[in-house]
Amino acid sequence: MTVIPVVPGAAPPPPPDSANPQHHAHSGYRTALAIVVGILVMLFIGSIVGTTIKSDVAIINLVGLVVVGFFAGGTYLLVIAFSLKDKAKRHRRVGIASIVLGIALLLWMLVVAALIANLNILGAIISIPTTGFAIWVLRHLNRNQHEPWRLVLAAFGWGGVVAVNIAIVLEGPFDRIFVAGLIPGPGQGLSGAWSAAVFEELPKGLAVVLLYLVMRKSFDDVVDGILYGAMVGLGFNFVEGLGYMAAHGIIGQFYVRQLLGLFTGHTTYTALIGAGLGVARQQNAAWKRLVAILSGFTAAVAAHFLWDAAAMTSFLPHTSNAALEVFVFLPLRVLLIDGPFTAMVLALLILGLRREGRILRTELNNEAGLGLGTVLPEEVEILANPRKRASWRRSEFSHFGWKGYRWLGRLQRAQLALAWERWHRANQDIDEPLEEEERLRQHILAIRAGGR
Amino acid sequence: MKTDSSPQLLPMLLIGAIGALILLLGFTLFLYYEPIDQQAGNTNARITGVYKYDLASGQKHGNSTVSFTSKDVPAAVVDWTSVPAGMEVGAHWFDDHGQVIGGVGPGAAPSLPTKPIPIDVDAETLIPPGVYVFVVERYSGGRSVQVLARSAIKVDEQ
Repeated sequence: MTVIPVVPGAAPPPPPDSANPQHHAHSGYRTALAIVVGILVMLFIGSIVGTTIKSDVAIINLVGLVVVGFFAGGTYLLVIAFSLKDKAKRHRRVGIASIVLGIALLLWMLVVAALIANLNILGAIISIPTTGFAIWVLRHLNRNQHEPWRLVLAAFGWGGVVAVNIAIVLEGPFDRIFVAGLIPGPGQGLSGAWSAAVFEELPKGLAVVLLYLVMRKSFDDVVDGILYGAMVGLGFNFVEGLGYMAAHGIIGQFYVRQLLGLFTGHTTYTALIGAGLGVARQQNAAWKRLVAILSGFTAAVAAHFLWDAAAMTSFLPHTSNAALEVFVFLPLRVLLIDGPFTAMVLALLILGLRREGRILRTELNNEAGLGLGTVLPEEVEILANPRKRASWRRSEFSHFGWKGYRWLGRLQRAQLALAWERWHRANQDIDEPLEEEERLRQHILAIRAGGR
Repeated sequence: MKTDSSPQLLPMLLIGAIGALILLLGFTLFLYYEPIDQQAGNTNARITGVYKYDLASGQKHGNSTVSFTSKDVPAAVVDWTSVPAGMEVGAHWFDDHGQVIGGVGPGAAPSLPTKPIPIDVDAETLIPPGVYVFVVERYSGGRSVQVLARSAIKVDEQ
């Protein structure tokens, strides 16, 4: 690892001036653009096929195409806006992005309303607290580096708007042309499970792939991958759940999708895709990246397929006793079918967090070794451990109240940001200039100097 | 984190392999229930219609329809002359889960009854709301291998 000595008052050493010296030749953006164009072409073809076979969702497909365009543009503008240093420019761009996203949201609400004619607003209202809680929990699982809210919510939005649209476009014609022509029974059930698993995981996964390609600074490893994947899945679950609530009753579907299946189901499936991409982010060889990404996608499709196959066939026992089905059979199916996959995601998350701890310890030690006062040697062990950090903040709270607690929180966040910046630079995988690292050092020193 | 050789690749690969195994098993099961080589052919059967059925008299009444209430007993009528005489066929009702809930066959077309084929239900039981499908199937080796005709109906709460 390269240690860049910085002496106060002296000019920073010249090369490398960027963490990613070949940033002009970054192929991730081109691939991302190709994927977005591919999605639009897929939606367009799907709409035409839907119209040709007189699918019920044909008109929704066409509206969905427009929604995707607005949402993609709005998300892009918003992400760019927040990266601007100039406050006035940033506010102006955020305003424009908000209008574009607002139009997308409005159109989408119309689409959902058209799709689910008797959409019950109550379903959406009661789902907001549970889904909001899940978003909060998932974001805090990444204890070493809280991801920016704009990206977390963008992932949630893509899952709920873009992925749902694409899934409708792909699943509708396939089910109508292929699945409906099969003999009712296990074969047709399995085919329906295939259709849902492939055509829902693919668009959800594409959203995570786009984040992996474009937001490399915020997509470091398996922990980030799991978080973003889970967010996309949660968004999908939220919107799909509204449809099921309207069709099959609010209370029952709320129980299934917002209580029993909030962290399992779609959240787990897409987290597996994110885990694969996160593991790929850490690999040197292209074939290893490919293997990791394919493993994530395969596991996600398999988990989704297994759940739907159990629901669409009679391989597993069902009962006509509603209470027994809801309170015994259904939780058992969640535990036995989705449970192992959720456990796999948790295992990968724990491995990833431990690895992050080791990386932080190394980078913080190196920074402390510079003797600049940004990280003190005695702070290294505390900063590298989330529990010790929290304990230190609590102790600060007991001595200095909220003011001290917030001050220490700011200091710790800045110190961790510096450690990650150093790690990125050591790996030469982001486009930030060297000044960013120095700016973080000055920021930390300013917090220290400012006191509580 | 490129300083390690391949962090977390092995567990990820293991999870992917478990997934691949599940998908392979699913595909094998699908091929078992939907054998590709058995589905060729242009034979079609004709479902004359789906009617309300009187359990007591065993007769259909009214016009053909696709909308029923839980109190009604739907029954389908098949024109068996539309199917080659030597072909082994059957006709069954299926619920949302693909479970058979009534029907006739399998057997040679001329041996099957021409009277209405109802959903199996007794006079006191209401049919749960949902979509029900009536399918005329070709059989081979004792298994249903091809759909010759189908008709879907919707049962609403009364």
